[in-house]
Amino acid sequence: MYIGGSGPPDGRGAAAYSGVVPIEIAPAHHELAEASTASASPWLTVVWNDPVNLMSYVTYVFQTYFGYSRSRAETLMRQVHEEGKSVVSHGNREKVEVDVQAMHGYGLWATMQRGDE
Amino acid sequence: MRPFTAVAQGYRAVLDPVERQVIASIVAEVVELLGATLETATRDTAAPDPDGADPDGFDRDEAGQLARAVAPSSATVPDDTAVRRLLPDASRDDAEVSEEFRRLTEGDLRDAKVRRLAAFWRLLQAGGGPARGRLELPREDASDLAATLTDVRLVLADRLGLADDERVEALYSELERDEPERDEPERDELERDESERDEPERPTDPEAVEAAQRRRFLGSVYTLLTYLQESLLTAMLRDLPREGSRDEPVVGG
Repeated sequence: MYIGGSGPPDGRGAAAYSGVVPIEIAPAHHELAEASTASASPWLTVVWNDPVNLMSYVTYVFQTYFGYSRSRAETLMRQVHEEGKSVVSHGNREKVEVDVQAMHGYGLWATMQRGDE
Repeated sequence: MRPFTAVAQGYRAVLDPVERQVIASIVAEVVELLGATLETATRDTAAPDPDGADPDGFDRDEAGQLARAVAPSSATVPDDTAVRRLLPDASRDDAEVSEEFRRLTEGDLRDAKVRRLAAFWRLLQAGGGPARGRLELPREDASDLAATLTDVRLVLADRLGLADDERVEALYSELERDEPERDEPERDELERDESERDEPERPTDPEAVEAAQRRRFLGSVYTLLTYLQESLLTAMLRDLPREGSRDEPVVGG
C-alpha cells in the first residue's frame, strides 16, 4: 500500500521565498510586572511546525480562513516550515482566541500570546 | 487506490474495499479516542440501514464495535498524547490562558471533529454498490474532509512516534524496505537465511513481531491517507483563486 514520498506531487509550494518579512516577535519572556501595559497590546496567533501537516494544506488553511493571497499564505507556510513557527494573525484577545480555535479545528498546532510591545 | 481528482460534481478518489474498511476502522477508533461513538455521532444525520448488505463485505458491525463510549468530554488536559495534539493547549507558557481556552472551546472542537470523522466514515461506506469504490464528495465538503484527514493522520503519527521530519522519512524507508518481502512470501528457506543476514535486527519474540506488524499496518494507513490528502489538496488549491479576499498590509518588518 506504500505509495511514495511525502512531498507534494507537483512541487506546489516550491515558490521562492518572496522576501516579505512578517511580524517580528520577541522571545516569550513575560514579566508579570508588565501585565498592565501588556493587556493593552494586541495578541498574536502563532502556528508551530509539525511533521504531519502538509505544506499544501497549511497554505490552503491560511488562504481560506484568513483570506490571504496565495503568495502570502505560502510565505507564512514556509516560515512555519523553515523557522518552526509563524505569527499568522493578531488582534485583541477575543479575536485571537477565535483564530486559535479555528486553527485547532483545522488540526494545526497554534498558540496565542501577548504581543511584546 | 486512485488519488483525488476534480470532477464536475466535486472531487473523486477510488479506494478498494480493503482500503475502505481499514480506513473506516481507524476513523472509528479516532472517534472513540475523542470520547464519542459513531452511533451518537451519526444519529439524526444518517439514515439507519441495519440490514443493508454491502456487496463488498464491509462489516458495519465490526466497525461499530470499535466505537465504544469512553471518558466523557471534560475541560482537563487530555491524558492521551494524540488527543492532546488534536485539542492542544492554547498557550505554551500561560496555564491560565490554556485553561480558560480549553473550558470555552474544547467541547465544541471535540464535537466538530467527531462530526467530521463520522461524515468521513459514512462516505467510506457509501463507496460500495453501484458507485464501486468511489469516494466522491461535493466541493463544499472538501475542506471538512481535508481537516479530518489531518486529524486521523495526527493520531497515527502519534502512535507511530513521528515527532519530526526525520522520523517520517525513517518510516517511509522502513515501509519501502519491507515492501518486496511481502510480495515474495514463497522464497525457499536457504534464500531467506541468506537475505536475512544483511537485514537489520528482525524481531523474533511474538510481542515484538506483533508490534512490528502493527507499526507496518499503521504506517501503511498513514502513507495512504497522506497520499489521499495531498491529492485532494492539490485539486482544492487549483480551484482556489490566488488573490486573497482580505489581504492586510504586512505589519512590522
